[in-house]
Amino acid sequence: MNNKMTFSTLIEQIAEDTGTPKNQIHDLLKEATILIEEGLLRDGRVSIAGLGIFNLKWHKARPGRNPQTGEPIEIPAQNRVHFKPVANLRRFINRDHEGLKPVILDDEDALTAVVPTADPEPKIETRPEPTAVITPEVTPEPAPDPELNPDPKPKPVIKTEEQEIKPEPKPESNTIPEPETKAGQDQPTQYGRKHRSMIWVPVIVIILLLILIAGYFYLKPADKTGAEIAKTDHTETSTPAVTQNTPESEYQEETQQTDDTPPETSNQVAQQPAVENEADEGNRAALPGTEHTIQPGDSLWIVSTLKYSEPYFWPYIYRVNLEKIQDPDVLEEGITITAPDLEGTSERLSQQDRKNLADGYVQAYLTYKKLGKQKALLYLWVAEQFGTPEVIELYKNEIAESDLETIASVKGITRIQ
Amino acid sequence: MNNLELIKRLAERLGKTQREIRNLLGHSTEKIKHVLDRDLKLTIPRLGTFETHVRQQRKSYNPHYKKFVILPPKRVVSFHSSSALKRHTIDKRIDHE
Repeated sequence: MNNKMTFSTLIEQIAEDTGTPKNQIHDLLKEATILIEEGLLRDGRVSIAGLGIFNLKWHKARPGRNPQTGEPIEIPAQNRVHFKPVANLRRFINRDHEGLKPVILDDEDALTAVVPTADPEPKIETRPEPTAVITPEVTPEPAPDPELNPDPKPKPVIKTEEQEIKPEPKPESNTIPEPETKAGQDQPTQYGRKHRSMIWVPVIVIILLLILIAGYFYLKPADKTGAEIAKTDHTETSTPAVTQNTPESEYQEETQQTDDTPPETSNQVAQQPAVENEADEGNRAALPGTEHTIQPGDSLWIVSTLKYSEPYFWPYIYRVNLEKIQDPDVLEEGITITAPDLEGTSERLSQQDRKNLADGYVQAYLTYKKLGKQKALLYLWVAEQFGTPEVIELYKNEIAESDLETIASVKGITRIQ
Repeated sequence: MNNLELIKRLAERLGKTQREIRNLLGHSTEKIKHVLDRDLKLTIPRLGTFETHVRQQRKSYNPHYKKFVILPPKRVVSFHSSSALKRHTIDKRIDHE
């Protein structure tokens, strides 16, 4: 069997590739060998780029047996040279089996599944036998140990593309009329079929979900604008109510979580503003429209988004509509609220705007406090972040002392610009 | 001993520049890689023999999942040190810390 390359052939080919005299290559490899040995004796470890790491490992003495006579002997303590190829080389050599992953067997499979016994046909033996994995009833004997599979293989031919180099294995694989020979890349699929079938289910579900969500958001804005123009006679009771998720600190998140009633009803509504903002900005936000009639589905959050492109400014609207709105989370259908213009812009607030906003947040705090909602504290904290202490001072009598202390103990991340 | 030191010392011994040695070594390892890939056995005198073989698919036990698994076949490079190297290194104990 011509499966050996001699040292001299190697040298010849390297010399050819590099255009260097053969004797130099010979010297190089020879010296390298000597150095590897030296390095092993000195450090116990030699790494060569692109090839691997030679390692000297000390093996303790252990009992053994003479494989021919069976008599027990003591294997003395000794050093062994181990070689670990670099990852690059390992991957390159193993690239035919690259995608294959271990298949975890279920219990009933484990009882019956058989590791395919070694097959003299080189093409097949590198591949798994799908029947063993998938149809356990084929297997006659229960689960033999891997060691029980005897035949040390003849040199396997794995590389289909380089078969023309090796004249011997090629006819062999041709003469054997196994259907699997053509299934070069079919085989791994069958191997992993068990896995795949499970993987497909969540994948399909996720894709369906995405399509549904996309469809929902695509249809929703159109629906909304239609509703605004046409359906003023909607008979539904108004169901707005929005939780104001001001994302300023983890403290706020905590209070949000402790927050009980409103979020459940309003979570779906709370998602809308962002989308509608994009869809309606063109025609709605441009208007200086200070009047807004509440329709089913509206909330202060939405109105604020439409007006200022910024949902967190809803207290700004709330503070001028105090008498119309009992609970900022629940708006009555058909009432007309006023959305005042900002002095500056929503990106760059004027000092007066900041004061007004702080005032709005304090109002929200007071209302929520009155309604017994825990999130009230959050709004007081936000109001405090505007850097306008005079506004807080204004309501000093109404704000609970303990709340102010709590707020003071929370470290603000940044002041609102 | 790492690659850099190997190159340095080879350059000293052979009277070449480190760059040349690096190139030659790189070509050599690349050549060895492709020789191995062609399923040829390669013996380097005094060092050892490189060859590839395919580890059969086999059944094993995964202690983490506490389940049996079928490990896929894998083609690996194996190395057997030469008798000369064995002889020289067999009884020299190196203390790894």
